[in-house]
Amino acid sequence: MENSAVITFTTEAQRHKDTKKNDKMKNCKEIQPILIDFVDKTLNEENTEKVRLHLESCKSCSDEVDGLVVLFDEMNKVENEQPDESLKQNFADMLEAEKQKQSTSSNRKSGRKIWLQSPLGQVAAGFTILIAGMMLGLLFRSTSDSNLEVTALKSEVNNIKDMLILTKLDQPIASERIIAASYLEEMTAPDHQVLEALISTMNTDENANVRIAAMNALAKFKNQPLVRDALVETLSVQTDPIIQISLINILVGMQETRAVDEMRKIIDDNSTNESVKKLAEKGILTLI
Amino acid sequence: MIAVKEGDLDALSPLFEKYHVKLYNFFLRLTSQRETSRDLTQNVFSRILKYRTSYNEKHQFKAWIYQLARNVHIDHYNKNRYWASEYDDTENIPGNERDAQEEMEDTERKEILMEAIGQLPVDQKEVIELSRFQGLKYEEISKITGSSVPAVKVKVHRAIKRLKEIYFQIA
Repeated sequence: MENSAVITFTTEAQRHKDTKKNDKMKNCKEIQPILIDFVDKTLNEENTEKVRLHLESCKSCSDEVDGLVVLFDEMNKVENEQPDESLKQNFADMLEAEKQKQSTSSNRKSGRKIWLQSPLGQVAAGFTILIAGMMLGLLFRSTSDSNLEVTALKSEVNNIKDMLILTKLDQPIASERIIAASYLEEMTAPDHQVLEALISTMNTDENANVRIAAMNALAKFKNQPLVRDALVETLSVQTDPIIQISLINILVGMQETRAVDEMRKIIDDNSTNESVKKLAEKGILTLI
Repeated sequence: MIAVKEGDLDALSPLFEKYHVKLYNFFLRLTSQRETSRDLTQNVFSRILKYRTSYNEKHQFKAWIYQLARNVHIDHYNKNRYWASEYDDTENIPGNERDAQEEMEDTERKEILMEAIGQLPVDQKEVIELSRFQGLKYEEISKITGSSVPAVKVKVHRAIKRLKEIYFQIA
């Protein structure tokens, strides 16, 4: 009889303790999502008070708050850095260029010029000029004259493309230079100057991806003596295995026997990658 | 911006003055590269000029410009993630200069913070940047990202929680 009374008493106490613990857990769940706003002081009065009361009794939540205070304090100390003047200057230049564009075509209205700013748009603009020129030629000139005009305009369009490649090859961002190299692949008869620029990119660009893009673009014009020579010569310059492999494949495909000597050197060089050596050996067998 | 849309391009200059440092630092903290950040900032303003006719007066300019900035960063990130890590070194961005000892400690703590931020996944980095450094409200971020306000809140809270964990692990 006495025993059972004790048991009843302990279970009662246990239940009491459990509900208290559950209450607290429920409280934490409710409080935690608003702790950040509490630290930021963006809570209303009622909620602020609720959090403050809870923190007095809950160690883990008040630790959480301390951590947030330190972190936010640190983040608030971060000051903005001033960009150098070139940003402002470039913006001013860009605005000026846009203003000029606006004034030259102010009589054309909507849908305007979004396309004119992209390189492709510029090429398209070139073609538009070409077609306009053809029309004018048909209207005002005899056939032989208009042919002359068309040729002139065609070469103008090609010049625009050349310019695009040349300026793009000077861009600081590697991906821009890769795009420039890929433009070349679309051309049928690139200018001497463009080829030279691309050859120098292939030999000297700091980024291996750009060098490989330049090389692949040049490979398309391998029947031009200038390009052919450059591809043979660059074999001694390139040290990146991936580039060496593509290059050897290109040279073997070209049946370029002048490459044999340089390939021998690559095989003899101890620092050469093993796969490259193997490929060079195979290449020599095909060439001689 | 409405003036810009209607053809008064000079009206863009005050907007540039107001936002260019903020945007530059937005990109700087996301990419850790000064030159890239300059290019990307310039890129945002070039997009503003390009798309000025599609600017909708009903929308806040602030939300619009951050939306553009966010897209510019996403484009840059997607374009570069395959080779960026291999070829570009991130720069150390130290704190502003003050007296030696204090400066050293500050720089150190700032570096820890930047390192911790650097370890976050890019989407968390972005919400931290928008909510804490650019000081945007949840409503504004929701307009920029196209998520609902409660979803933004949850995202920000998770990002802060994660950042706090990483920060105290390193510190």
